[in-house]
Amino acid sequence: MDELPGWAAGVDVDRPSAARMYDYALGGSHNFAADREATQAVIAAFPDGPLVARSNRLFLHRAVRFLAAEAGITQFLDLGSGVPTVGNVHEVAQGVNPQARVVYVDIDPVAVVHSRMLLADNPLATVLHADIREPASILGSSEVTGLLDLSRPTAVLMVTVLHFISDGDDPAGIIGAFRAATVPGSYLAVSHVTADERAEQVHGAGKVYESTPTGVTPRSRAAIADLLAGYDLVEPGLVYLPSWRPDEKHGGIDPLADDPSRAVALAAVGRR
Amino acid sequence: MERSLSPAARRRGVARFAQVWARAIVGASYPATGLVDVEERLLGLTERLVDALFGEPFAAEPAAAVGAVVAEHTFAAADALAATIRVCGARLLAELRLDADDELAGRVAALQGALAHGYTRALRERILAGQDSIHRAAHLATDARFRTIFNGAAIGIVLADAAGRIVDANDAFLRMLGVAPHRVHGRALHEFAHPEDAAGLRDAHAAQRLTGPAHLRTELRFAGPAGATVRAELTTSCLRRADGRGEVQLSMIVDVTERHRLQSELRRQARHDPLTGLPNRTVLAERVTELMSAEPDRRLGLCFIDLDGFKAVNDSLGHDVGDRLLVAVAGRLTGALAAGQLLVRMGGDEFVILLADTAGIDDVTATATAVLAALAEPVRVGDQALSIGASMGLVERPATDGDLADLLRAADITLYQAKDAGRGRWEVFDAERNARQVTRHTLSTMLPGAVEQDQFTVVYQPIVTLGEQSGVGGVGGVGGVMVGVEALVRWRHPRFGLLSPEAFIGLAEETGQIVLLGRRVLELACRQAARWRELCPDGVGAPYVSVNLTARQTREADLVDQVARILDETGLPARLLQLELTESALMSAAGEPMRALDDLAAMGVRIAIDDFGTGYSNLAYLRRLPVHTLKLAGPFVDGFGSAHQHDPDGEKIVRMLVELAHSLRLTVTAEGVETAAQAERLRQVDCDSAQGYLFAPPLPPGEITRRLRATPVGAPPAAPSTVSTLPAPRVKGAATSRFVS
Repeated sequence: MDELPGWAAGVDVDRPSAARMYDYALGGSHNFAADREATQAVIAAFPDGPLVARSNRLFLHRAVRFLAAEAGITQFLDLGSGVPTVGNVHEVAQGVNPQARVVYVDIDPVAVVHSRMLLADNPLATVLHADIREPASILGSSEVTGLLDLSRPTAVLMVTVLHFISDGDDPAGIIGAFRAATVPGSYLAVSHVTADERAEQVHGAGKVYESTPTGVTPRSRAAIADLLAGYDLVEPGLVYLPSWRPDEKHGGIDPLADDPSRAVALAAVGRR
Repeated sequence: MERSLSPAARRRGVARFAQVWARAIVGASYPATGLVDVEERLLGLTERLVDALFGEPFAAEPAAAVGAVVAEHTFAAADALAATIRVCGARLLAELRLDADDELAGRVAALQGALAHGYTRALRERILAGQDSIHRAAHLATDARFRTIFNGAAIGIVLADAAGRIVDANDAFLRMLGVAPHRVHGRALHEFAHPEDAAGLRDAHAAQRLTGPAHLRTELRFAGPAGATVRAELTTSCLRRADGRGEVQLSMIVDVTERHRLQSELRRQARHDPLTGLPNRTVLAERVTELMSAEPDRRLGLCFIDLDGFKAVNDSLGHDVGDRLLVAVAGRLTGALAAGQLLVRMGGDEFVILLADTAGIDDVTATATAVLAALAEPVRVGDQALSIGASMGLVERPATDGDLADLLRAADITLYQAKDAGRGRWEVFDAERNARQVTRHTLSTMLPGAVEQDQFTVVYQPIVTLGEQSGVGGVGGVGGVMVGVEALVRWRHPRFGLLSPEAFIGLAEETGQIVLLGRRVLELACRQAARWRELCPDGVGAPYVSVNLTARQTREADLVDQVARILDETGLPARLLQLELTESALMSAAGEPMRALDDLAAMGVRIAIDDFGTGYSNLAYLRRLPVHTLKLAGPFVDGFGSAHQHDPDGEKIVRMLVELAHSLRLTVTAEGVETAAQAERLRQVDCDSAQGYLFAPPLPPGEITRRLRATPVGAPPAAPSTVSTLPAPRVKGAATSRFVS
């Protein structure tokens, strides 16, 4: 045996992952050279990239705060959670309600292991390595069944994840499966890249993601609204990221607040 | 430095600066919390900055700690630091409502420097920690994946250290051998091998760690669960250190027990008769081949057994009883075997006992005696008591004499001799008797297939003119011009090689195969002759082809039609075909000449009487028959030997025969001419043409073609005017008219 075979030598480090590119765009250091190179390529095509990442993260922050503080949700299933960064879902939720429970799910094995390291001392939060295109395996996992009680209202978070699912993988079916598994009074939070405006920039950035395991699929406002069928959207409905319940006091200052469409992603929270 | 700043003014100033600072940072970065929390935190940090600003003596270092705290709580670090430096420079003194004198401005600048220093140092630590943790995560993720593959693999995987001690073994391996993990760690792989394979594996692995090879592949047995044996394919790879010594040995073990079992079962099925369970002829072939390829002085014996009366049992009592009888007989025969003997069922009611390393035929006859004794008692099948006997053919010989087919043929032939001699007995193979009978027997069975498979070829012996001179030294060699060729059939037998007509024509005649065979030869010969004719300009000098007809053929009702059809199909002019018949074949059973001959002659085909003078030579018929040529049989020519063997009477007879023939306007061809003296004397008695080894042996058609091309156009008997440089053949005018008629 002259050298370790490829599968044992860490291909993950050499291939950009959406989760770690997001971390880098937010200013994090939990990433590898391949992620940084890919992110730089995104920024070259789409200079607003880091601002959009921040805007998106602020939306997540506000949405979780809304769900925990105003909707009274104590259980969160964060799909496509990525690399743990400051202001994670469990930090925000448990900041509001220390008994809040969170299950993170990601397809990137490194993000999952990293999350697991971070959550080692937190009995109310855990992480699952799974593909959200397989809802049954997530809903049936010991992580979900062990920590969450799906007979009580649960918030499913699909923030910055649905546009990584191609039409061929049936995103509506995936959302439907999670909706069916939760009880009325549960919530869904979504942010989704759209190319309705600034199409050239979005598609330019999208090209870079073709080298990641997931790729990227922007969708129109109408298509995103269709995906949310079965949920009653809370105010203000489906809007650009900065426009969803801005809250400087608790949620920071959105760099794109003055021109929300620069965020190229729509956000919504809906109640089942 | 003393500055008059009331506590209230200072408190208000600090609060104002903290608010401005918070907006700057929150707007420029992604903080962990909202603006409210940041502002609260920055209030304390601003206090510390103002403390430092007014400190006596002045020291900038406390600002470094402030910078570290800012770094800890902000993301997008470059933006947060820039915002902090900018806001300090622009707003700190202003919010404190202080005038920026040189000294204060200098202190602010120093604080900014320390702040940037502290921020950067903390950021560096944070980045390094982040990188550490993500690398550790990647490593763990990879390791987890590796473990998943390792433990999920269907093949056994074992990792051993530089001393060959197992450090890790996967679930598949543990399951394969039925051992617990703690029993494996620290031990060597060979300790789990089958006792007979352990030492070999130990040595091979040790050698691999020392010098290689990089990959080691072998098949071996492991001691499986509950004393079972696990057959496995093992591949061991060795990872080397820089100094070349083996560091890690990675072994992959595939359980092939089941595959082995299936293979051996298939092999058994392919090698055994399903009815009796006895080995089949495949096994016999292997064993015989093995003996034959062994040392040359080994001997072997074969006892070929055929049950007497089995067919009657099968026919009268049914196949079921027949099968059960065969099983019972197989049991009896097995009981009669001596050590080292192999009993094989050849099929049907035939069995073979193979004896290795026999001392002589007595060993085989002893076995035959035992077989007869074993079958002496009637065999019980159900409530029937069946008497069954056996006939046997026995062979004993050096193992290297001939191949398996020879051996079986010898035994088979001998078996039939035993059957013919009255059953319930054996015969011993007699090589000489076999040479006479086997061939005849074998050939007669093979003849029909041979005709179908076109195993016959035709060779051609030149017939040359006997000119004025003996022709010795002539262009074409000895003799004159080649005017014709006699077609002679050969059997290219797949096993016996090229057989001459004496070996099979009689058989073919007896079995009737001669009709098909004869037609085939006629076709081949005519087609060939037509090709030769094409070689000759305008057909001049083309040799005729002389084909033998047997008596049986001449009695075929459609002989004339056949000949006509073949001539038509091949395009050979009738005058270039000569049919040779013996005297007996010429005459019908009633002693009358065959009617067909007239028809053939009328077509232009030449008729020759073969072996003239060896029959009863009713000279009277010569006058009435449409014959063109007499072929003098060898015995006449023999008498023309060399000078000191001169036979004056023989020569007189030949001279007389030739004169007689010429008077009847027949030509004469002498056969079997072997010496120049014979040729010379034949010429002297006016014999027209001759064939024999003196001129040429029977030749393949290609050789005749070559001679035709090499030799300038010869003189056809019908056209002496076209004679080339060769001496003109002497052609009888009378015969000439016959040839062209």
